Amino acid sequence: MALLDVQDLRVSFATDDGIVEAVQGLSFSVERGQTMGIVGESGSGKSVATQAILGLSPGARVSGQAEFEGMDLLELDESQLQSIRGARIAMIFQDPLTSLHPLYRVGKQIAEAIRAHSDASRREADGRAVELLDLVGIPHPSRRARDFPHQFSGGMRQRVMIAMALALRPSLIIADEPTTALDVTVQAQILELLADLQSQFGTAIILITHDLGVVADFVNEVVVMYAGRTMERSTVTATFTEPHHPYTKGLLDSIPSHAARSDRLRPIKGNPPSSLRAATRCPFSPRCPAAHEECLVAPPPLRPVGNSPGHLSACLLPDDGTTLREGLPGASAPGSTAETTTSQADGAAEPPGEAATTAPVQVSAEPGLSAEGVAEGEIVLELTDVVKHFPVKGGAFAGQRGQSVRAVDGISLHVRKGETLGLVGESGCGKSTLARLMTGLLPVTSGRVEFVSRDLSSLSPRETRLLRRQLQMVFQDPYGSLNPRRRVGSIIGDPFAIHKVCSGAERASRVQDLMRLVGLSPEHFNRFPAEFSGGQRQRIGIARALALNPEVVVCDEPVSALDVSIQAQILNLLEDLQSQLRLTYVFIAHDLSVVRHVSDRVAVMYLGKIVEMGPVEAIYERARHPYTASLLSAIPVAEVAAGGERRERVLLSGGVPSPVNPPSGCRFHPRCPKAQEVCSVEEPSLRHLGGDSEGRVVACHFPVRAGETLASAAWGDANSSSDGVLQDKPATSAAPVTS
Amino acid sequence: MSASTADILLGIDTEFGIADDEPDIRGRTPMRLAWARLRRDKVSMAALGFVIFICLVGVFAPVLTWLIGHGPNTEYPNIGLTIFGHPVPPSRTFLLGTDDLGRDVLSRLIYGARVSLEVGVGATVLATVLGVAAGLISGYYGGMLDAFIARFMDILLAFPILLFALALVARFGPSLTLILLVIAFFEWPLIGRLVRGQVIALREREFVEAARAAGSSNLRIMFVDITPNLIALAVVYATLLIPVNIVLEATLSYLGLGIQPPTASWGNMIAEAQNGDLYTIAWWMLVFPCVALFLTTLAFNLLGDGLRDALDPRHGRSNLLGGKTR
Repeated sequence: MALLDVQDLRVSFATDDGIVEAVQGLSFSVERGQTMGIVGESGSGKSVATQAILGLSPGARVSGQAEFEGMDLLELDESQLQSIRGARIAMIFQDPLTSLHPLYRVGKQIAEAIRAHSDASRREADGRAVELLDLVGIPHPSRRARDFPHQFSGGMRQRVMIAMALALRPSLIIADEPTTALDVTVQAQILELLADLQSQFGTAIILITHDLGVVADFVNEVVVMYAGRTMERSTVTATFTEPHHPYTKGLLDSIPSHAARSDRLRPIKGNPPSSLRAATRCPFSPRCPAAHEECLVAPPPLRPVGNSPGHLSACLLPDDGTTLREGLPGASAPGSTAETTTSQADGAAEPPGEAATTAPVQVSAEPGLSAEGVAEGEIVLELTDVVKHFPVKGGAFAGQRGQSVRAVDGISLHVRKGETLGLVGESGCGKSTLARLMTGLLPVTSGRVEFVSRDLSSLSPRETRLLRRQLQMVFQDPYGSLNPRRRVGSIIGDPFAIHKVCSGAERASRVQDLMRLVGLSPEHFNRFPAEFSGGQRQRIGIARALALNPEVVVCDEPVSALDVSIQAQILNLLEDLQSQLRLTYVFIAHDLSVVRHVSDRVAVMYLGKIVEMGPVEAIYERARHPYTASLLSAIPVAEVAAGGERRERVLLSGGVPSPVNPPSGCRFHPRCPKAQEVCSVEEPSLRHLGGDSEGRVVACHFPVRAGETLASAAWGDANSSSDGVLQDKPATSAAPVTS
Repeated sequence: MSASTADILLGIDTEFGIADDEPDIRGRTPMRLAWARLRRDKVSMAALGFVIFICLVGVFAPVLTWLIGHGPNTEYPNIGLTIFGHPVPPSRTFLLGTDDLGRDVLSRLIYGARVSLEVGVGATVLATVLGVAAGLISGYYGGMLDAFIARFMDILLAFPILLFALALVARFGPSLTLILLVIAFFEWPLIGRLVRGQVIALREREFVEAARAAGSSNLRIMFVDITPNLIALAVVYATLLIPVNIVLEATLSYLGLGIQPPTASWGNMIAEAQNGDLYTIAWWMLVFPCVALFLTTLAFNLLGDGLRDALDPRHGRSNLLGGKTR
């Protein structure tokens, strides 16, 4: 019998806008010791469903059945649920900082959890807490047990959460986006740990995530959710090798790593539906390339499809492997034309002639500050030894005055006209600071930022304003970067007003042109940002950046806040705009596959420095810096090899050290599998490698040789970590793990 | 389908093809949303009704007293006083009775509303404008300027306003203008501090950075980008400041430092009722001004609370229905 058997789960909430049908009949089951992944975009109801099962969504109307160890969880009262939560079913949340109590020592918190459900003595519980911390790979567990949550890094906190979840040997752990807030290298560590513990204790795990790549490496079975319903349920292999539902296929196609550089992404068009009403038809039909009349009659039930047993799909398409359109000759409906237009659906699908007129006209540019005369391929933006230090605020308890955060510490690079320079790195590596230095939003501490050979710091205020027309920025947070109290038309038209380019009817018409250019309906110019979805808001941000026809656009994580299908739409839009308007991009992201997809050249940053820079293929195919290599191997890839084998990974230990006090010599040496004496003493400079004709530069004493895998380098204990405050014993290990 | 060709080609945004029966959750401005929330709140709506009523009474005071037929300062020694010279209790002629000089309490109450609102609203508007300006400059620029303004606000807030008003009135003689200015002068730091805090938070938001990236000047950022985000806050706290000022005016008038007789004000009406324990024989002289004062301040306070909930639903009262609304 299944450990947890959920049947026809329905959850609804009353909100200001009406009843939200968050989950509309979800069924799944988890066997003992199995892992199941629930995949869905934001708003698909994946978190709500599991919270409702555990009685963690007050105010919701919940119906259905959730059989767990012979009890229906939905029938239990609060006190019975309490005895199950934590003890029999444990949860791990996305943000460990908010789920750990900030004022109690972590050891105590784990001990409390143990004592709440058993009659262990205080001493026993404390001892057990230390054992658990050791188990999840926290170094010096007895000492760290007396630390507070803020003294741990993100990855370490998530380990503490896992320790707490394991405390009572639950038979089921629900992990809700456990690695979403973490960097890729740390994410890889945490997933590895979870997999490890699962095989050790046989705990069943439900992994809730938006990232298909995470499930691919980790789970046995996948449930794909959309608009509160199950779209497809199958083994992980079947999901990736023979997906049946168009939504699953669409999701897979939207992922940049699935497509080579030159390929266009094939995003799912449109936006997820509102869940204000229970679906009366297939919820995916408005976005489905294969929708036809039958899809509109009722939501299709889950039915067995394909060759593998247990493969269920809520789609009417025949499962004999015929392609969507062949299988549905009668598909008239609007959807039938969709597939042919998908490839161009999400960019500027306008004819070139129209695009030319919509492109804002260059306004009499000031001599010396225009890149108009710059030919394709010439340098437009050049950084020389750029340094940015932020003083550490000396609070009452700081006691470390004079220290500074070395966010950017000596970076030189150039951007050529018409190209896209990708900038990758983990959080805290200084990439966002660098973006602001490039655009002149922050002054440099030292070094030079030159735009068409003019040093930004030497410009007069008037020239600085003119520069703004040439150097624009697209921001990360589509919610934070638009003023919530201003109408979209006035936000997009802001640059025209600021630079007194035009006003009145002309401004209005140019704003509407811009909206059309980025794929927004011009009729909506009178709306407020809150009335748009995340993807649409990012389009607004892009329209604003393009208003004055800039030369260089710096995109700071423009898609990281978006769902994968929307992300693909925006990436395609950016690409189209680049070719139409001859834009130059600096594209900053932590997502390596996104960067690979858009960039011509890539610079990899680590702790305020560039460690490797070169053409995108050279970097991704033949990384020479150990950091680049391990970063690449840490990306979860949404692919399952036919044989079910998993990729070999280089697991870096620990997290990124503090930029206040970076390691001596090569900053990467404490985490580097190839580090030797010299690395901690002498800082390697960026240099061309002999015998490398690819035009790359690497800052490493011992670059990875062709054919060499890092996994073969010497390695120590897989779990040893020098994370967080305890930097006393730099672990010189990277664990090659094949699981 | 009203979607333009471009939309269909682009496949974005407007409902595509068959998505025609989606409930429309868009098309609402922040103000309209706030109004919708406010309208659901019965207490706030009642308070709003009373506030509007009192404002109308104040504005149309001359018309109302003309209708009643008794001027606020007209003494009716014959019909307005008993043969013993005592005030007349509420009757058909004098709906709320008369005072010790034979004046109509209702008419005086109506004119009193006028004075209360003049001082209450006038001083509040002045204090809010000053406070928003100071908070904006202080919070936006920071540094020495901020330190100076912030400390100045702290100092002002440390002053005992009543004592200070007393001294000023003793020096310059009582007048409505003086009261208004004194109240405004001591109260703008209340708004100023709140606004400053808000501006410091807003200044770091990405949309301000975006404005800077587009080339906005500081002034433009302050007025075009930041100020609209302060309006809700300012409106809420101004609404809550009005009753404070009404009470303050009544207090000053009660102490004889505010509105001078014979001009009616709720404060000096209460004072007159207490004068020589008149209220022991004429309860109506005390009760009606007190009730008017009480109801007015209560209404403004309730309205202010309601506005706060409506304009910023995340704070204050939690979601009525509980649960996540995402």
